[in-house]
Amino acid sequence: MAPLAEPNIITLEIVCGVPRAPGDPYTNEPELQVINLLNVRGFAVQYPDGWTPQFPSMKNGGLWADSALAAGRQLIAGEFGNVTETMTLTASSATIANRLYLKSQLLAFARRAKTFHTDWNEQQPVYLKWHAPDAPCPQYALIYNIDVAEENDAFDVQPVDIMVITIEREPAWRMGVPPGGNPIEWTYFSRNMQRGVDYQYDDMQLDSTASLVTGTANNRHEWTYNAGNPVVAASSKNYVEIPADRIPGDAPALVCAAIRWTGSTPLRRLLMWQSSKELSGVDQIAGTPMASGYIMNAVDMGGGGTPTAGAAATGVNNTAAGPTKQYMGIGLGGLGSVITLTSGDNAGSLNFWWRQLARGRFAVYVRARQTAGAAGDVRLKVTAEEISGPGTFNAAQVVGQFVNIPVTTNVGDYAFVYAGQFTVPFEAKSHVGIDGRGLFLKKYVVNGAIDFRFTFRFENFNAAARTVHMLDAIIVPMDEAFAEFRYDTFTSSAAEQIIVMDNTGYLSRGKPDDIVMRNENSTFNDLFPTNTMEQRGNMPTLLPRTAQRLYFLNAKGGAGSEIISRPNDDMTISVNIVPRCYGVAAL
Amino acid sequence: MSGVLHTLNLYQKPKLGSGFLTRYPVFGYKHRILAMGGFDTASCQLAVDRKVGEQAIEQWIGNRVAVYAQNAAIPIWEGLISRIIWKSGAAVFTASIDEMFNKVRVTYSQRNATPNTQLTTPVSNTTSQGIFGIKEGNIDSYGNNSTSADITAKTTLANRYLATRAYPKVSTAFGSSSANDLLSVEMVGFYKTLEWETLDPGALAGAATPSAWFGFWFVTAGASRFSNLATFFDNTDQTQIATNATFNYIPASGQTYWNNVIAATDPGDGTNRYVAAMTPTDPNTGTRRLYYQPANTAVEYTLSTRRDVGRVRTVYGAPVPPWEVRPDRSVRVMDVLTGWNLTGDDPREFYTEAVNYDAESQTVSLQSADNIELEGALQLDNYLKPIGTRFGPAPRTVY
Repeated sequence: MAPLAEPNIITLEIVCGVPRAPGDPYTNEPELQVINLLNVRGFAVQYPDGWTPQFPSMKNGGLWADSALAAGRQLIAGEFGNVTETMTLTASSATIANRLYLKSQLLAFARRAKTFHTDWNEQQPVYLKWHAPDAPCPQYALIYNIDVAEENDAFDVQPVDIMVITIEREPAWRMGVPPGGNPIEWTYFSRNMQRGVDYQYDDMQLDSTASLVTGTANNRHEWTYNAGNPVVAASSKNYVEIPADRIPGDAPALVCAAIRWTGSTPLRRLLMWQSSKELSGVDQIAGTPMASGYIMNAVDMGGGGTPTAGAAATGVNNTAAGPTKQYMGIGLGGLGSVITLTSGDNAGSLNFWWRQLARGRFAVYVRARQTAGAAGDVRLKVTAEEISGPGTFNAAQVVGQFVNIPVTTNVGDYAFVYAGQFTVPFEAKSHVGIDGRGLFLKKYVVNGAIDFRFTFRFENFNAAARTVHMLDAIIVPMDEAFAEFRYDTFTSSAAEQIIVMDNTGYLSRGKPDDIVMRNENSTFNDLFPTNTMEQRGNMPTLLPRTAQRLYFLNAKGGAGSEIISRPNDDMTISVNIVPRCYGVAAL
Repeated sequence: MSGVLHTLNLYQKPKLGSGFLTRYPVFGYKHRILAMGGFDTASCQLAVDRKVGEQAIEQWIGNRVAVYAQNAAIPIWEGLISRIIWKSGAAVFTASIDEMFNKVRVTYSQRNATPNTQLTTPVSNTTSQGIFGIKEGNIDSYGNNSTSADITAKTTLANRYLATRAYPKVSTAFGSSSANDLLSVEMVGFYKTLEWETLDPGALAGAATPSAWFGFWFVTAGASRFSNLATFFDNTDQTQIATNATFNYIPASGQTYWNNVIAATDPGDGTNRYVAAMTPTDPNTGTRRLYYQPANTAVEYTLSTRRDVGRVRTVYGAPVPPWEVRPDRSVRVMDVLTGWNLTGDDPREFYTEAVNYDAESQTVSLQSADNIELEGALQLDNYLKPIGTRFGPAPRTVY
């Protein structure tokens, strides 16, 4: 439900501090300090010369590749820089003492704005708050610097002072939630809930079931069997969907994602990635729907429950009658024995992938385990191929490196095996056909030929026979956002943990930064503080007005020092956002 | 927009564990990767406050770092912090591991000894070694014609060096304050730690194939053997040491382990070039390993002089992000000398010895054997450095 537009409020303030949670009887947050810039008896920005809001522009004009030998030039990279706002303030208080006090307060805010970014002791952000005429909500921007210039002579006895202030602020405005503010307040605002009336301090947990988007992310992705045809319906999925209408604004939204995890051992690895690419399309031959995901498996892993073997490596596991099967058992003979599994092959042991649906730059993982021996006895090599003909395949190929398959103690405990990175399609961002119909997506299958495939080659480098259990293959698109979070520094027997990944600034007191924290035992989640986790890569920001998905996969402590992943270790996901805009906020 | 934020993950010193400490966005990031060695050097600046600047000077030297961009599984570069430069107002503090030695011995020549070149028993600061790992210093001392060596004097010399150099050294300078005072961090790759120890051939005599030596040098612990063991890489993992039995190699006394690796690698197999380097940390095992294998001369990158100038692409035409460009593969320039087919090396193709990446300009330079930079002129990657028409050091005697 779209929030009601606020009554005709116009606000322009410089604020220092983080808002208190409404109704909190024992808050440690100090009162907000505010300078009102629309106070005709104090400071006022007055039309027509007061303030013209600026938009951000590319820093230094962007980074370009240019050559006298080539026509035009190519944009390599470009990010928005901070925005410089210039305001003319008129201080027209009746008494000189009052005007002097206001100027002194302004200069104090200028100092605090700088020290928030440079000194450890200052923990209160300074930001601009602007509620434009007819805007649905106030908008905020973190301030980096304020310069103040006096326009009047020191001995001018006129009762009006004019100052020009120059404010350097962050490139995008935050809609509805100030820097350091709790992003769940945007969620409540979007539901027309009033602060302090409809929600209070004890409704503000980051993993609240009232979050903007909630759902369960399975630790697997299964498909409903479709009689050997391309799958179309997921029976489990490792992502939550963010509808387009939940992300207003015109700048990428900041994200706070919380994961509630139930497990007997602590979560040690969490992969999180973002994708706005389409997951399904229409077969251009017959018009039937086709779907694809980022996890390739034998379609049905039996709900991720009891780990029992599927049929032999090249057999078919994706049958309607196979709900109790989970992994593919790969039995290798002695030294030099090789077994390959291929996506979308004639036996249909693994679901299909197409270049247009599975497009992007990917980190490829395989969840697999070796049942005995030592890591490195069996090695895996992944090959990506683009196919342009049936029968003897005409394939363009990219070959990865051999990686070791770890040994794990227990059946059903799979290791995350990183197998390299690939770009699909090989040549461009999208797969366009020479049939002249634009984006190419055809279900033509002859002798298992399908326009793109991964081959997983398992080879035994040991004299003794070896067995591998392969659960699935995961392609993680890293071209939108891909982050890994790790926690290795202790052991825990807590039944539940909460992990919060935040780039809204709530956990960093407003500083633009990625922070990830965890604590144990959700029974006490509001009684115990959190510990930081290691983050590799960058957290996502959500594209405005675009449907997208946030994906999750986890691994935990296994027997001994193993780090293993089980397909039935589901996660409860709660997502809140701070939408952003470059101009005036609009829903 | 298209920028990919580069971040630096800081960890404990490898000798103290690999615990994660903190993470920073990097500014002015550059790195260099070599076909022979792997991750070589990197530098960047961090925007930190005074408290962190002081902490960096005090605690960060020798810490492990990894720089991530788009792929959270594999860093674009990793190694150890070798130097911190911190500007605080007008004062510039520099702390570095370059002049630190916590194990010192003296090399000298003695007429009546066998062999003539002698090494003193090394002296060690085990406390420093317990923090940073072992970093040897070798003092080339004067020889004498006496029948008895002045061991006491030489050992005293070694002890003096040890006493004053067992920990990272700090220096200061004063100048004008800058508006852009960031913390500068310089880093070296893990293969550089193989320059920290001197191979004592007394424990390993005779000749063996290059492949065999990698096992002899690094796997077995013991007196006068490789002592950093598994501190910086998995010394027992020989899975990427290729078999090369085309010649026997005798290690060079008093040279570092890395110099011996270079010397054993230089001949290749008589036909093919071989390379040796340290792998990135394997995301599956959490360890690094040393590899020795034939150079990869397959063309994997393409360049163009007229279209999308400066961008490295795959052979299929897809752009390769500049931070992911790697050496030890060949490059072909696609739009020059079209149709060339004469004898000799194809001038359109070259094997990449080194890659330099600059994040701020998003450029990458690829260097072949004709390396026009200083390192190429000094031929620092070669063990034997012949005098040529170009500037280079005098030939060295292998002994």
